[in-house]
Amino acid sequence: MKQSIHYLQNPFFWKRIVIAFIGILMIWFWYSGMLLHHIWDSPFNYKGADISFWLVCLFKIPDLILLNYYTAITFSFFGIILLILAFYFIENRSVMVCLGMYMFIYQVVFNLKLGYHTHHLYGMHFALLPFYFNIKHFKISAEFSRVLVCLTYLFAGLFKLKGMAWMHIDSFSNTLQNQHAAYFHFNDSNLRTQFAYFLIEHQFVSWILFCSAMLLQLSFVLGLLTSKFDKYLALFIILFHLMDWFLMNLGVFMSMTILVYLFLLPSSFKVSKIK
Amino acid sequence: MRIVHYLSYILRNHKNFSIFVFIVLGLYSIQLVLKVEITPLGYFSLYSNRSEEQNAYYQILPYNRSDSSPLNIYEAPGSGFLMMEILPTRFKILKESQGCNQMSYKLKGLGVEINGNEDCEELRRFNKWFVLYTQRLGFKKNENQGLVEFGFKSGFIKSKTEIR
Repeated sequence: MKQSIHYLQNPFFWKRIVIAFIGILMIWFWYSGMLLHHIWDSPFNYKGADISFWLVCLFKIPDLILLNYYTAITFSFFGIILLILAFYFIENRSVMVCLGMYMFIYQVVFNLKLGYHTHHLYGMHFALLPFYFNIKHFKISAEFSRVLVCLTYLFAGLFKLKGMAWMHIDSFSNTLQNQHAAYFHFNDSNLRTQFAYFLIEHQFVSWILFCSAMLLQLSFVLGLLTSKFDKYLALFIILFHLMDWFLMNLGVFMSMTILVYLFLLPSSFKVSKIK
Repeated sequence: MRIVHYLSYILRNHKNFSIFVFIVLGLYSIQLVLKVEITPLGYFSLYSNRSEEQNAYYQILPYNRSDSSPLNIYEAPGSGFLMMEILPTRFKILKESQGCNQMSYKLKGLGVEINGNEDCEELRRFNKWFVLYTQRLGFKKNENQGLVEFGFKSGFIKSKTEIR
């Protein structure tokens, strides 16, 4: 008799959630004019000092993808097709590996043409990583992804600690004025503006908010030590990005919230259960 | 400690996977030391440094030369306004960087010299291209569009400097 397993215990259930989330995100980026074919002909060719960008250019990969508008839009479509294939052929690992390689090349070429090495797709990379390996290895690969997520947030907190902005009560108020310089001009009375003005006027409240964001990020050190607080860390990720969206108008990083699944996996997928 | 338990477990039982893990962690460490943007480590550290109060806060916006008004980039669909914020800002930064590469000092430190003439030459067409991109986001075609760095204070325009 075929043994049934609870859907939460099934890695393919999580895989489908991640792929569906990324698919929706890609559609949102398409609608927002934020895909590669929207900026394929931009005058930027920014390689920075990152070896992956120099390598991709050395192998003339951007020349191939960005030959004209049609090659660029075909490349964007290819991503959607790979996502559909990965969702449909859920047990096929080769499609997943292709999707991973695609996402990497996509991000490098997109950043090259954006002129900025932004990391708005990193949430997707971390979320997809556990599925590149044989499903037998799901526990250890999901755990590794979880470690990378903890390190990312922890280091963001550590850099804030080192940067010393938290030592200055007025710093976050000034940051808000800088962040919303033009936004205030065009949106003088909406909820975000009103709240930001409140924080600008009440520097102590904005300082508390900044420190609490820093503490949320620093708390990810707990994730490296134990899995007892995973549910709280999942909540912290959502809280942090909600705050980032509402306060800083950086909704694009809401894509990182898909990472909460790594903290919500059943205990049978936890490293502590590995003997 | 969970992380130590995990690393020792994969070292003992999953040799091949542990090689992958240590390569990634190695890349992270190199990035942390050299800061060359290989990984996101340390790059989610926005707003770490103190922001000082200023007389005006600057943002570059598309500008209609015929009626002297800035374009409301927040009318772009979805998150498109972010692109309208990022692209002109990056144009200014890269144009003012040595070899049109913001990280050329880092490359120099690593012993790599770049001339960047080609990249700088390409940047000359930014204004024209940005008019096209603005249209792609659904804004009306405007041949009179320019780029202006506005100084704002509490929503009011304090200064304007055209970017060419």
